[in-house]
Amino acid sequence: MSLSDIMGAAGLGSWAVLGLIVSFVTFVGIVVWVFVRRRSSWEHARRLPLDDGDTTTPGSGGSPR
Amino acid sequence: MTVEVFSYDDAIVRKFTLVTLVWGVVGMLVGLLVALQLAAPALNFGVPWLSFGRLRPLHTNAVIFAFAGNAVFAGVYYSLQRLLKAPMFSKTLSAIHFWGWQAIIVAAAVTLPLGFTQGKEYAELEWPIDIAVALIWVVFAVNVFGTIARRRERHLYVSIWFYIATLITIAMLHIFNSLALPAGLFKSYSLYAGVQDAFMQWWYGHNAVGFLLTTPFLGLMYYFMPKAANRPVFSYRLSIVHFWTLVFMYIWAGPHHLHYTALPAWASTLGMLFSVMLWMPSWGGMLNGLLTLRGVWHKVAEDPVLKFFVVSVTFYGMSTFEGPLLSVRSVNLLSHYTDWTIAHVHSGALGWVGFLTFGMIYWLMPRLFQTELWSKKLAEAHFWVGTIGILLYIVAIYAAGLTQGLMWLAFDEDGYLKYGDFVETTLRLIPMYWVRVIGGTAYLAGVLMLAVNMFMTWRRRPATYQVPLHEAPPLAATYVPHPEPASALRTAGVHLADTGYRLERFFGSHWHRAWERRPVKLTVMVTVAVVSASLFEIIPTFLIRSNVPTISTVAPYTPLELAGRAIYLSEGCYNCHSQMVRPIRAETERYGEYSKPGEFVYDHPFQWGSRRIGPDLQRVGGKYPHLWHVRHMQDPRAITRGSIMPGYPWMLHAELDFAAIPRTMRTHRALGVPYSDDDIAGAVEHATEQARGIAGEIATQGGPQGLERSQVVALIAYLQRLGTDITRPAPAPQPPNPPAEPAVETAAVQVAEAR
Repeated sequence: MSLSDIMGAAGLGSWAVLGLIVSFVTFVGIVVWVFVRRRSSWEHARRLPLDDGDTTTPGSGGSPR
Repeated sequence: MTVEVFSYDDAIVRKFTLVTLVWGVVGMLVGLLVALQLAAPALNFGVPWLSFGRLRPLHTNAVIFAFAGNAVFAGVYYSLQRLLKAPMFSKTLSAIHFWGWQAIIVAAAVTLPLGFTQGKEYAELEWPIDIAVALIWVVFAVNVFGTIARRRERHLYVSIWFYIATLITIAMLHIFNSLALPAGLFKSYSLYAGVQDAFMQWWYGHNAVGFLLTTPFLGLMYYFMPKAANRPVFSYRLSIVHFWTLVFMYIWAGPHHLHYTALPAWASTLGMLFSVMLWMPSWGGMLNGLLTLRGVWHKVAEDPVLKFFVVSVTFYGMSTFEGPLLSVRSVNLLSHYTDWTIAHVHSGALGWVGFLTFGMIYWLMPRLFQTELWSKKLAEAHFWVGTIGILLYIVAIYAAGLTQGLMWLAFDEDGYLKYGDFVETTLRLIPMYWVRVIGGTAYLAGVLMLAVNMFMTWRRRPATYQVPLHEAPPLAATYVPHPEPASALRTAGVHLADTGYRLERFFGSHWHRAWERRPVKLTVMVTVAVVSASLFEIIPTFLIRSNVPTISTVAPYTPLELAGRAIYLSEGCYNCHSQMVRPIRAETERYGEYSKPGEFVYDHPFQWGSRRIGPDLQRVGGKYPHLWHVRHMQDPRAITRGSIMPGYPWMLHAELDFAAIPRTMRTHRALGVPYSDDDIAGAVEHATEQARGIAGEIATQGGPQGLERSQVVALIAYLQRLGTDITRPAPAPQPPNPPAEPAVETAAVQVAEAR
């Protein structure tokens, strides 16, 4: 009894179709949501990469090279 | 409000950046050598560990896992800390991750040229190294998720989503594709056989490109491109759609690597459809990157970093346009097994991955070494030399792919193959292979300029690196969301229909934003998406066993053939030879009867291959006398003028390890190959007997004497067996066949349903 025999006997075919449908519906939901929301609500997240330096204080620590 | 003071660990970023460059040079040097070997086969030197079949896996593994892998780690360690306003979770884990990964690379660089391989493309590393890869990957994951848990910024920026998808998917791909049963410290055999193994391999191969060379680099693009341009990304919404589209669609596209094989047609069509759908997010992502530069295009002219990024993102667009194109069945018919695929991956690897990495390193250098870049002019020169190198490489190899593909398919007016001799099509490519060598050399020269620039910049570093302190409030225990911007209509007192208002509240409310902030939920979501898509692709794989028509005459390999197959794997013959005759006339004319899924049920691992640098070998059994093979292995050019195959003269003297055969058979039996106790007990005797027979025939045919204990005899035994099972007479219980029918037809009739 090999792994493939067990898998083959388990009757999993319909789960694949279900998986496809669920994934697709979820995906469409996400896309709709993203574009229905106001653009301004993303503004904070959008600027995150540029924020990291703002809180810098003059360095006092040092490490040997 | 309390404020916490913290600093970032840039020492680990410096380490990863350095090794990225070192392994990049090594991987590209090996790439240059294998490119030279194809143009001038004498450069294989007749030395086992310098032959193309062993070095090509070293090249691919080095550039994918060592160069690109370390580049990802450098970029992730730099950006993650800053996006989360927190240092890495554990310096010890960072160190284990760094040294562990480098040890794995060294182990790979030693074992691959020695011929220790699992024989599956981009997953060649043997089982002890595979286990180490999985462990180190877990260390990396713990370090990343630990940092996320201790973050001071509630929102996870989109780059981090891409990193999380990479962490999860690569772990899953690596573990399930590498499942194998050891037959010794440096040898193991894939758990899957034939068609199933092919599915697993290309599920892995396709998605490893997606989740090691695409998603993490997109994460880096979404961080470093805005940094370099000093502008936020053009559209954050587009970046989210980009992310979810890749997560939901990429995995489903895998079956496009197996057109014209045993895959059910509807699944391969669906794979093709999803591939074509991937055009949307890929181009959305490319435009998002390029439009981030709106208003700062003048900077591109003077900043080498932005130049690298612009070309990189353009190549992302190009190769993701081409990928879906190649997945269309009719295009695949022409492109598959040719250099077209090689050109495609190199436009992605040299252009997208390479240039994004170089741009990132140039941007990081002044910040990591806390001094100015040594020479901006040299960086500019790198950009131009590298770009010209890529163009020379891909134009030549696209031309080579198209040329050979069309020659393979060509028939003359009488209906015969126009180029019936395979080597005719090889000879036509040699000039293009030389152009590739020039292109590759230029690209490598550019990388060496980067190395000089980095060394000189490093020399100008300060006596001690400053470690700037940053401050930020900790995450509040209870989260108060940013207030939604009020609707202009409502503030103006305009009456709104209730439904519209509710809809707006639903879509605008924070339930979605809640899981954006929550790494656990995000991770679960990504996992569900990639796992369900994978199951979809894998389930048919395992069902296929009961759908594969069993061919009654297909039997397990004899002990000597199995030993020969181990040599075939170890020498990496699959790097140049396929074992899959597609059901089209141009191939059945050239190679013989097309391949049937039932022929591969004992093949652990499968050896279908993906490129025909030499001809297909599926039907080579019985095609030539034994002596032909001996002479051909000794000196391929003595048999076929213009052949670019490496010579294997040493194989005539190297002794076969007969004593190891029973162990290999026991491993195969554990994997489901029906060897009996008697088979295994008598294996050495049987193998010795068969070897003596073959060696005797070789001597009779006028060849060298006394080959019966040499490796070449085992390899010949395997090659002479290949593809012959379907033409063997059926076992006794089968009804007798009409004697007039051709052998191949007879076997086809015997194909019966399982059980």
